[in-house]
Amino acid sequence: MTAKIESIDWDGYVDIVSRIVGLPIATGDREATIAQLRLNAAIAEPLLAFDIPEGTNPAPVFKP
Amino acid sequence: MTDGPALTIAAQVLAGQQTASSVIDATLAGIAERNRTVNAFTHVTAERARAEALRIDAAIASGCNPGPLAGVPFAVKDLFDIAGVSTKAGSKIHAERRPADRDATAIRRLTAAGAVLVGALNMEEYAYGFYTDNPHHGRTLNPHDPTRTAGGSSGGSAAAVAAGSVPLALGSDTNGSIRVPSAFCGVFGLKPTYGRLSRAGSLLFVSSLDHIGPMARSVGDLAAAYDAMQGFDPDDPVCADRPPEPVSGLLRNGSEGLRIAVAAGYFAEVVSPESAAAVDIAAKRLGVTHTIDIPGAEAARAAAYIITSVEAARERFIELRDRIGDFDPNTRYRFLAGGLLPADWYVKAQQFRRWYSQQLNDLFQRWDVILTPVAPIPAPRFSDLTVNIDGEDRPLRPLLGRFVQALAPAGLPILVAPYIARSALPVGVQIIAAPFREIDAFRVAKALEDSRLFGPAAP
Repeated sequence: MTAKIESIDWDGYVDIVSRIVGLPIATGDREATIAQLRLNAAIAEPLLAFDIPEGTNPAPVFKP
Repeated sequence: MTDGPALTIAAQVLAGQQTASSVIDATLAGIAERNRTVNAFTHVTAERARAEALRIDAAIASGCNPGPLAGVPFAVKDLFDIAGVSTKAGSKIHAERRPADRDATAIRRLTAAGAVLVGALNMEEYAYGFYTDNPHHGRTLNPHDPTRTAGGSSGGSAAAVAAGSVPLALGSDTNGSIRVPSAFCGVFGLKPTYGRLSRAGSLLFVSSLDHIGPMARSVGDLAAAYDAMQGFDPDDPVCADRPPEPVSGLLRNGSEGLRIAVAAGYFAEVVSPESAAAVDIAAKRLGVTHTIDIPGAEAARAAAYIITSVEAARERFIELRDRIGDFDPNTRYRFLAGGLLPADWYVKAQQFRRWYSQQLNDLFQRWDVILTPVAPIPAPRFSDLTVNIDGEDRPLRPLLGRFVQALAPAGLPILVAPYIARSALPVGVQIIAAPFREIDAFRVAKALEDSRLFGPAAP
């Protein structure tokens, strides 16, 4: 998903993921939501391209 | 005196030079007057404030000490629970919720120190943004220039302090929401270490990144409020189990002996002359000559953005599903898109956060304090859409969080010192310290305040 952000079918992505997570996107909200997803993807690029050392734990640690 | 320093008000009340009741009456009158232009308050707790002031006066009359903040008025961002009041969080949806059963921990601790709550303060809807241009509760105006934003999301808190309505206010900071409005309104603000102050009784925006903290017009007042709120709280699962480490008595130690550096690279690029000058002047005043690079800053900002998008959507999932039409149009699509982002991005952001924190902790083996600008520019006009920096027109909204958001994943204590050049708008310097070393940031802030080059100017 990281390398070809521009080529992603965001329309199809929104259809599938919104159904999977149970968050319906109304027709009137669709275009702006997709624009925001494109923006999110652009903003995420420096993170997705960042080479994190293997075995790095995610930050939140559950403490029972 | 009611618009002076909190510690002066407390000293006068404790000495019997004025009553808490007279302070609160004057404060309420000032709020009614100033709020017509600034629109910082969303709710005024007048009846409660008068009753608390009477209790403080009665305590003093009977020889009891009501605490170091006796009679000091304060107000809180409208995401802290106030007993008997609905916690609106800048939203239409939460404004309809039932009133809170009890005060947030931070309010209870300030009240226990003698401070008197006078109201709730405007904010961006659900704390998502840097403008405090709220469609449900109105736009908060910058006391220095009403055509400009007070910053956000704790814009009401900074504006109320800057306007002299209250000497102390509480805000919250996820990606810069204490720091940006503090800089834009020209007040001191503290984002403590993640987990230092209890968030119990505050509405969460992004649990992994949320902090609460005080804003004030002097370093001494900021320290007094911070000290009053410290201490473990089992009601906040991320609150650090460590004893309070008061800073008020240590401010006079100055910055001598502290190893201070200025962040270069990312933190010196895409910045206006005004914001850059504030850091330069602070560095000169402190005798700082070293610069350092903070590795991964651009990716850190991206990580903060992804963590925010995903967790914010999860926190508000039911409202997004059932009442999307009641959301602010400016935040609605950020929330919706955040609810659809892939889990892999979120986990990578959290992995990055671990790596980034280690890099910063390594830096703090060699340095005690790092300085950066707060925002790349002073407060923009509400009508501005772009800003020209280095000859390039840049979209404004994404620019404002450049320096604050890049530090958000590390959870470090950061104190904002305001700098106001003559006839100019305020800007701020981030004074960044190692985890749980708030005292180092306070000592530097006090040294800057004592230089008289840093600190609030009357709007």
